Order: sequence, then structure tokens, then C-alpha cells
Amino acid sequence: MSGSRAIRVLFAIAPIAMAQTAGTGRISGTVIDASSGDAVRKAIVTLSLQVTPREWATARTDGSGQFKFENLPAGNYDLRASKQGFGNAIYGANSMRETGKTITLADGEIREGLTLRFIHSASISGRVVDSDGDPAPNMLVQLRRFGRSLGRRVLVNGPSTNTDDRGEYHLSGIGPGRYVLSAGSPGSPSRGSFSDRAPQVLMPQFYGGAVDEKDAAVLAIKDGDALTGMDFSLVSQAAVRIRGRVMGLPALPAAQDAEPDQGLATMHKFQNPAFVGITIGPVANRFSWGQGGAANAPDYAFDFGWLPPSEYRIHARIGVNRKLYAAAQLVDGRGGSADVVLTLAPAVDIKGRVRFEGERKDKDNPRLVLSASGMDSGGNPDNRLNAEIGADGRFTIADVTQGEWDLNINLPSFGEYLKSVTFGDQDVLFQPMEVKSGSEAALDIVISTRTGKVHGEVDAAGRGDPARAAILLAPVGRFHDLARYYYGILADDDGKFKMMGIAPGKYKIFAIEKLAVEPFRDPDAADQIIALVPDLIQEIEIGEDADVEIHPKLIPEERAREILP
Amino acid sequence: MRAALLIAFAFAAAAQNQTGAISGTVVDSVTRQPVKHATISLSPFTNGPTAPPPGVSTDATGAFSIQGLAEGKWYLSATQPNYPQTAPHAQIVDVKAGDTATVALELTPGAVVTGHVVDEDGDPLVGCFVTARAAGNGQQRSGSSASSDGEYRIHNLPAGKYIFSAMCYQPPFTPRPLSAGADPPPSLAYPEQYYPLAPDAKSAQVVEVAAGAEKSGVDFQMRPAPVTQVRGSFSPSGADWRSAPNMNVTLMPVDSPNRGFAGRQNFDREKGTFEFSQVFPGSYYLTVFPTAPGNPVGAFERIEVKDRPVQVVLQLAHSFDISGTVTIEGDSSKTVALNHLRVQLISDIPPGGFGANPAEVGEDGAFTIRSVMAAPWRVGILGPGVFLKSAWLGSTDVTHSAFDLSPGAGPLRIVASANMGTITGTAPPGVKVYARLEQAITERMFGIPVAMVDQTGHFVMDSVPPGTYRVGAIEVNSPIPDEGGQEVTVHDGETVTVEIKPPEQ
Repeated sequence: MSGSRAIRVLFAIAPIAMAQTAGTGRISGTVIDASSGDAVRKAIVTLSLQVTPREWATARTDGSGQFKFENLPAGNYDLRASKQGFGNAIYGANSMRETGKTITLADGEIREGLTLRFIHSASISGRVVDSDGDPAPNMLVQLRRFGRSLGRRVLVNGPSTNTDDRGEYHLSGIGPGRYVLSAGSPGSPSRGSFSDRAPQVLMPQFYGGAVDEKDAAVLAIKDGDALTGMDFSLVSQAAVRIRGRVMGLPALPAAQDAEPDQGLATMHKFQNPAFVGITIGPVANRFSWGQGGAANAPDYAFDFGWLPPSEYRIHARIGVNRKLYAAAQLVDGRGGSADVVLTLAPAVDIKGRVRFEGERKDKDNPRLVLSASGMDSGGNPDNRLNAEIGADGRFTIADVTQGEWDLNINLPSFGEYLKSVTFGDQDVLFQPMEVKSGSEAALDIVISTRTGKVHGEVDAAGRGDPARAAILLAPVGRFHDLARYYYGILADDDGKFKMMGIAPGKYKIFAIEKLAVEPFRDPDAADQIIALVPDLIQEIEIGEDADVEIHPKLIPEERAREILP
Repeated sequence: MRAALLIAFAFAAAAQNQTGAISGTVVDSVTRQPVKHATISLSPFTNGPTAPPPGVSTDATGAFSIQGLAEGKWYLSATQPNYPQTAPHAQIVDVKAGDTATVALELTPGAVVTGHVVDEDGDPLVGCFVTARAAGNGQQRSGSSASSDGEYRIHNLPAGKYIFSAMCYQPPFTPRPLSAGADPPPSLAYPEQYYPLAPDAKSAQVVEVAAGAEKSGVDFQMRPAPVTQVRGSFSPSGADWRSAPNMNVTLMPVDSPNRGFAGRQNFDREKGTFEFSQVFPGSYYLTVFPTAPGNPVGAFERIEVKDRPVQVVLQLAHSFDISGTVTIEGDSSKTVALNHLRVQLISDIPPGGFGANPAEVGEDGAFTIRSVMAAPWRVGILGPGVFLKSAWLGSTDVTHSAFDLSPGAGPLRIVASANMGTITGTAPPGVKVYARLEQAITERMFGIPVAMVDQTGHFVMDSVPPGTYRVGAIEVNSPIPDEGGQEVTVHDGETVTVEIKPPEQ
């Protein structure tokens, strides 16, 4: 009926054959539940050959937990198994903290009867009730773990679920770690409530009863934990009313001057609307919602109605003649209702330049993302800005509103590091930048390819097995809290290692027997290791383009495990 | 001075006397237990002073009270988030000055439906979603994800008749030989399954669930079926895709427009290629939706998928403008202002399809619809008191049929008529009368006419477009049903009188 308009080529094509590596070796075995000894059926088993680019094969266990791989070439293999929502297994490991063992397969070799010990991932279940002890359905139960963003401690969202009609919830597939658990209404509970009387709202709560993130109980969750009876008894509080008005409006053009749409990206900003857009969201990441509204002529007042007592951030914005005017304000609504005045200020276009030091292999430009500092999803529509970088390294970040911003620079290729970032006279290398309305400061970014290398061999000295030890570099000084400067790698079966692309600077280096790198790539974990075994830690300085040889002292597995949950 | 005081006192007394109060309770209609935290809604039944919503909610014993109400009849209903919102029991309360009326409101609890989703071997499936759709109109009412043990639980489902279906996005496991690179696209996937073990909505069993009841055992055993891929690229001779930010390519099954999902999409903006994996054999609409209002590009194709991968080269086309004229039929051209009318194109690709902005009609009847994509369309007219009498594209009558638009097409000649019909009649006092039009497209343009029945049992729906309607009555706050009602045909300018029976419960 309409195919005539388009030039159309329709044909069937043959399936693409994959490049396959063939051999005559075989690996087979069984996945066994570590706690019950039962066979684990329908687990996905992944066999990876240690080559670049990585080659891997997958198989699924049958009803008796057995799997097999055929036509394998000689080489070193890693073997893992997983079952979504249930758990994982690593060949040669007794916990998911360990790196496991390599399988070295000779040409035509047949390895049978390998056993993978399946470790159940943790689960949490419980019930949420209201202040009368009745089930609270449709409450959001959220698990968060501790993380870092630009060196600052933040809670990172983990798995979440909603309570059912019985107020019950169940979360599964949880990895080991330290978490906080919260329950609360998933949305603004009083949307559209403008009555005279303050309604009662269920307050979000952390497990253990704390209302504030700072006082939240920390759950140390291990593999195989099945935490049941993790119940919440939520408390009702009187809602607070947040209202106010917007000042500092620029002269608005007559309605007929409204410009035609300029494409989706710019349309929403520059429609010359007759109202100021207002959003509100809670400051803390406890329950993430934002609510929109409008402040209308002639007095540009707004009223969000009744909201749960909390600390809020309010944003106001209007596009006038293709220019953005905005204001932001913190409101403490914990003590009661509040009246707020927001004063609009024009946004600025930040111009800047990226320069490169050293020789670049990859000519791709980095990606710049500016995100409002300390912001959660609480409703600011302008809190993420992107910039395209031109061939000459110059860029403009348009419509940056007044306030604190975090600059995220995604480096395009491995082996580069951010040498310096300045905004006017502010040093903003991994630090928030303060943008003032009317500012003409330029953003200068220097990216260098003059990274360093480290190589060496683990010094076991009778303390344990150096094979597949975790090698970790932890930065000393200014970058101590920045997760991106924590470099980790696994030593090979002989305890030898080589690391590249390291930003120049001072580091502590350590090697941990058997355990996976990831839990230690964290400032707090590294500090605890350093305090625990100071004699086994060395400090090194890596210069630009340097290649440093070092023999880190092996930290025994059982010592390192002391700091893990 | 003394006189002034007396007058002031008299006013105060009068104000006091003119208001009354309502106190009442809200109970669960099944358990008869009080319902706490229910919000009471109030609206005036008879004309008179309106009061703002009082924002009253019930306390822990299910009780509430509202003071200061003007004398007269009020509609009262209750809602509570843990009860289905669809059909609150409304009550009419007669408020007398200086008196407190008592009322007992009910909330009907929802139903719970539980079951398991398992694979062909009976093992629990991860990543499945079970949907409850109202039998009849297929409207989705509720859904729930199955947990890792394959169990799902849908709650707060309004009592009624449903069909249930399960969708599992994770394809069945396929072993992978030792190799590098991404997994090949799956050759098997789980098609949507209707309860019990039915391939489509037509053969699904209608399950009736009762208020407050729990129905278990609505189980699904998914069966894999062969799938293939639809791969595509944009023809270099067509419009440039790079100029279109956020371009959206969708593949939609022709015969089940309710399902927005057809396979997994992967769109490579750099290369201008896209791929859908997990596509079951069948007929599809492949649509590129323009999302840039400035200079939109888009494409629309119907494609047939069999058991092998399909390669499509799409020619992206720029939008274009369509012009035309509107004239008013007969004498009413004097009373209808042409510049209050708008011409609206409605996509004929279900669901959604392309959008088009309504075009303002000038005083001379001329209009231009901007940024139209080449596709099948229908046309309608929007404006107070007029309906589309006839429409012509060139010499083709497109009044009641879809038509293809391409650049250079037109002009559209539209004849509007102000010769609207009227439906009037009798019905039980206090209910709401609705009239559903057989022609869905006109209903979408006009909305569904409704009228309140007054205290003497009469109602009037004026300005209804001619057509065949199903007219019925419902409680004030109840949703308008898709079926039922008596058939009434209204011709141009005609007034039809009907007698309506009490609403079905």
C-alpha cells in the first residue's frame, strides 16, 4: 500500500558463520552446590581462553549438573559458571572473592571430572508495615552500596523491588559487600494534594529505623547469606507545604514572537513559554523522584502542595529568546512548611580547549559531560550537559546555569590521563567547579599520553602462593580518594605482572594472595590493608613515560580477608 | 450603629444556617473492615455554590467528617491507593442546613492473581513479565515480573474478566563454540503466551476474578519458536539520518498492535544501520519516527518476515506540507467561523504511527498541514459544533477511508457541517449517560459524549456528530464500558430520543 515511495531491497541473507578456533582438547565437569552438594542444573558455564582478543565458549549444565566443551585448542583457560538470580562458581575457588585457578590444556588433552563449587548469591526478604502495623503495599525497597564519585562518598543504587499487597518483598542475586537498605514510598506520595490540612505521609526509612542516611545501619552481606525477617515499620508524619515565587524575570517577548521549533534538543529550552518551569526533588538520594510545576504570570508564584518532610532542591527555568534563565535553591522542609524565593540568572556558555601532550595513537576526541554537583535525579532538567569537541580541540558547553558542577571527561583511549583541568583561576581537576552567572572564564583541559608502566614479580617469601595474586596500586596524596587512580591486575601463574597506562605520581603497591582485585580498588579498603600489614606495603613513584620494576611483598589471603565483609 | 450591628449578626446567623455537614465511614465491601487513609472526594450534584475539595481522609477507624457544606445534594466517593481506582461507589448525599448527614461509603478491594512461569522443561524462567488485559478491549490493567523462582503476583486488580499473557525476553540458551566477538543472534525465542498455553489473545481463556479474592495457578509454560533478524540500512540516495537526532526505528507486528515489542533493537548511528533480533515470522510495520520537529525525516514500510534474516534498505524521506481548503455545508456557513477550525491528520498505522500537528484554518478556509510524513493517513476536523461531512484528495473520496500522502499530493478539500445531531431521553436520576460511536476514528476526534441525568430523569447530549452510537448509563465515577448499550443512529441535524434502563452493576 505504501512501498512505492521507498527504494527497497528485500532479500534473505545467509546466517553469518563465526570465526571458530578448533582443536581436539576437551574439558568436562560438574557444577555442585557448595552448601548442599547437590548438582546445579541449567547453570551457564563459560570457558575463556586467555588470548587477545578474548575467545570464549558457553555450555549449560544438564539435569545432573554436568557440562562439557569439545574441540579445544591448547592454551590457558578460565572456567566459571553462573545462574541468574541464584549464584556463581569459579573453578578452583571456594568463594566469589577468589580469582580461582587457570586450566592449562595441552594439545589434544582431555580434562574430565572438574568440579565447580556453586556459591549462592545473597538474598534479603522481609515485610514493610505502616505505623498501625498494617501491610504497606507498593513501597520501594532499595539496596545501596557504598561508592565514590569524584572522590566523594556516595551511595550507589543496587537492586530494588516493590512490596506486594502483603507488604512483603524479596531481593535476590546480591553480591557480597557493605550495603544500606531502605524502604519508602516510590513517588511523591501527596501529588496534587492542596488541601488546607496537612496529610500524613509515610516517611522513608533505613533498615534499623534511621531516617537520615548518615545514621543508616550498614549490612555486611556475604555470599550465601539469606537474610529473612528484614522488616520495616514505617512512621507517619505530617506533610510540609513548599511554595514560593520566582523573581528576576527577563522581559518576555509577545506570544507571536515565539520561534519555530529548532529541533528537539533545543526546543524545550527556547519555546518562549508564558510560565517558568519549576521542579523539586529531595536532596538526599533516599527516594528518587522529582515533581514538576509552573510559576505563572503575573506574580510567578508556585505551590507544590503537600510533600514529605525532607531537604529539597528547587529549580526554576525559562527560555527567553533562545537564552536560558535559571535559579536553584535548597529548602529545608524537615522542620515544617517553607516559602521560597528564587531569583533567575542567565545561564552562561562556557568556552574551552583540550590540548594533548605526547604522541596519540587514537585520534578520537574525549567526551565531556558536565553534571550538576551533588545532584540526584531530583528533578533538575539541566543537570547533564554535553559538549562536542572540534578538530582544533575547542568546545563550547552551552547553557550552564549558576552553581556547582562536576566535570566528567571520558578519555577516548587507554594510556592517556588528565594532566590538568582549570576553569579561569580554579583548579577543577576532579573537583567541583563553581559557575557564576556572567562568568567568562575558560575551561582548559590538558590530556597527556605520557603514562608510566610497572612490571615485576610477586615476592612471596614463604607467605603463600604468588600465582594469580591481585596486584594493586593505590595513589598517595591528592588523588587518594579517586577510584580511577586505583590500578589493579592479576599476576600470572608464576606471579609475574605488567601494568601500563598509569598516571604519573606516587603510589603504594601491594599484592594479595588468591583474591580478586575489585574489592580492594577502593580508598577505604586500601587504607585498611595498609594499616593491617604496613611492612608488606611499598611506595613507588612513577614518572612520565617511566617503566618501574618492583617486587611487591605477598599479603597472605587470610590477612586480606580480615577487611572484607 | 445599632442597626449595622444587627445586620452583621443577621448575616452571620444566615451563613451558619445555610451550611450542613456530612459524617461517615468507609468500609471494605468484602471484608466489611474500615478503610483508613481513604481520600474523600466531593462534588455538587445540584447547581449551586461549589466548595473546593475538602481534602478529607478517613482516620484509623475509617471515619471522616466534612463541615461547612452548602445545602443541597452532593456526590461523595472515596479512593484509596491500595484499592483499584476504576470504580468507586459514588453516593448522593442530601445536606440540610444545620444538620449532619451520615453516609456509609464502600471501597471494593482488588483481586490477587498468582502463578508460575516455567520453561519447556518446567524450570523457572528469569526475566518474564505477566500482563492482565481486560477481556473485550484488551486494555492493559496490571502486570508483574516473575521472580527468580518463576513466581509472579498481580495485586490490586479490579474485579472483572481478564486474559493473561506472559512475555520472556531472555531467549533460550544456545551453546557457543570457542570463538571471539559478540554472540550470534538467537535462533529461538519465547513468543508471548496466553493463559492457558494459547498462542494468541483470541484463543486465550477468559478468567473472571472476584473482588478481594486470590486466584492462584495461572501458570505459563513457555515454548521456544524459531526467530530470525531484520537488518537494515539507510539508502544513500535518501535523506541523511545524521541530521536527525534521536531517530527512533521501530518494528511492530501488523496483527497485534497492542504489543509494542517486536524483537531486540540495535541501532548504529555512525553507520546508519539497525538490526532487530528475535523476530518471529509474520508481517510487520517498520517505521522510522521523526523526532526532530525542525526538519523531520522518517520512513515507513510493511515487511514480511519468514524463517530467514531479512535485509531492508530504507529510503528516509523529508516531510512535506499539504494544503487544502475547508468549506461549510449549507446555511451554517454564516454561523461557523472558519478560523476556529483545525484540520487534523490521523495516522493509519496502528498504534500511534506518525504524528502530525493540527493545521489552523484561515478565515478564507485555506489551511496548510506542516511536516507530514509519507504514510497512510485519515483526516478529521476539529472545532466547536462541526463534523467532517466529506473529504477529497484530488478526485478521491477520503471521507471514510485511509489515503497515502506523498510530496506534491493534494489539495485536500474538506466539507464541514454544523448540522449536528442531538441524543436526548430519560434515564434514572443521578447517573451518567454515554454514547459510543461505532466509528473509532470519529470518536478519537470528538471524544466520547457524556451527559448527566438531572433530578427529573432527563438528559440531553447536543452537538453529536451523525453516526451510529451505543448509548448506555453508568454510575457517575465508573469507567465507560467498551460493550453494551442500545444502538441509536443519528442523522444530520436529527434529534433522537431514547429511554435508558438503570446501569448494569
